[in-house]
Amino acid sequence: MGLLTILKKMKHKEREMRLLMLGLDNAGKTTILKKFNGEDVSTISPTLGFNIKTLEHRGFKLNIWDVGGQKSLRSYWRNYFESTDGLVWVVDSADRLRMEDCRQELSALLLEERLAGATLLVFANKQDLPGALSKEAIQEVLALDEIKSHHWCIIGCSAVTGENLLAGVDWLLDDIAARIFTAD
Amino acid sequence: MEHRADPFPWQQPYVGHSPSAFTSESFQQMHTNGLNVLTCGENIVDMVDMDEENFAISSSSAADSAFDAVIGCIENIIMEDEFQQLQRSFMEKHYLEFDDSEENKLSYTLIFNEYVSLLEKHLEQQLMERIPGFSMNTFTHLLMQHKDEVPSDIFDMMLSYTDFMAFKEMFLDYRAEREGRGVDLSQGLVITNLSSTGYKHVSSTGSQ
Repeated sequence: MGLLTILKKMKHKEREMRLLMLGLDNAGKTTILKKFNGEDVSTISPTLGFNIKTLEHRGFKLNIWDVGGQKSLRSYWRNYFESTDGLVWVVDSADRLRMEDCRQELSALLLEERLAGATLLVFANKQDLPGALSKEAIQEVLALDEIKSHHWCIIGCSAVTGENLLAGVDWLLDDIAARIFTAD
Repeated sequence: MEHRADPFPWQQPYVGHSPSAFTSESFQQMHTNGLNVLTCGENIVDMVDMDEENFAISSSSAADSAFDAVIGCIENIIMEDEFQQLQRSFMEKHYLEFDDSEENKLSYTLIFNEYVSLLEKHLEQQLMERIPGFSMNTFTHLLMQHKDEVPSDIFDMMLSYTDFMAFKEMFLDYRAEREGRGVDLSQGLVITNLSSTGYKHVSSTGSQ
């Protein structure tokens, strides 16, 4: 690791968090990001690269990275793992056919060494859609109870209405802050 | 709970052997070899002039001075034309890849990583040339302990090289400049000093 990289990690301590938002394509990651940022969410096209937003919340600076979820892009996810404090896994709760795919991708991520220190928030998104699975059902399908390696929480939400997005971020922030900033 | 892997395993165990290889020994070596012609500011000269007794008595302050000397050296390196040329030729090579859309291309990340590593290599290589016995490992150990003593302008400048958004902005400005769309200096962006003096550098340092 070179000098600049080390400096960056040193600096990283102060009331600043890096959140990485991943999930299958069409899960609603970019919509969540834009909704947080108070932007229009009516015309969002599939992400082929990545988006970054920096938000201030409760005195913390949150750097949120949203990387495209199409299958061909997933091998690039690893370029964004470094220094991640919180992993936000976004699920399209109405996409029942791809739940198994979703479970596999998540469990692969949890084995990543560079994500070993990250708190996991699962957003069971699209709860406003009629065919959506409940967050309890998703918790079971994704086998979240088997996760021992990370602090985790699942929250049902709707990116379009904004419902529960803040609750999710608040939980994430509390968990990360308790781990990092009280340890100093 | 061990899930947050400490990226700096040496941080705690390091305490106790601070005046290590490059701080006292190498500077003593500089003294005996008469290598006091370095260009890294007065701190190193001070170090060279110090008695060996002083090293023994106040080894921690010797380590402090050595640390300050390296910081001074880093400051020199990043202010030099050569460093700015390095940045400029890197931008020249990649600027066409960057455009002004909000969404970032995945390729930006690869270029960004290449950029950080290019600057890191240059810094390390220059430090090794200028400070005999310099060890980046030892220096980064010291850095952990002295991080509050690094002048904030230098710290911020080095950090700016690792800031992706600043990096993207720098490329967009460079592209705008190359395409004759001008750079808005009122924004105070990263490359302002390049754009105000860059043309002179290009012609005067071309032969170096």
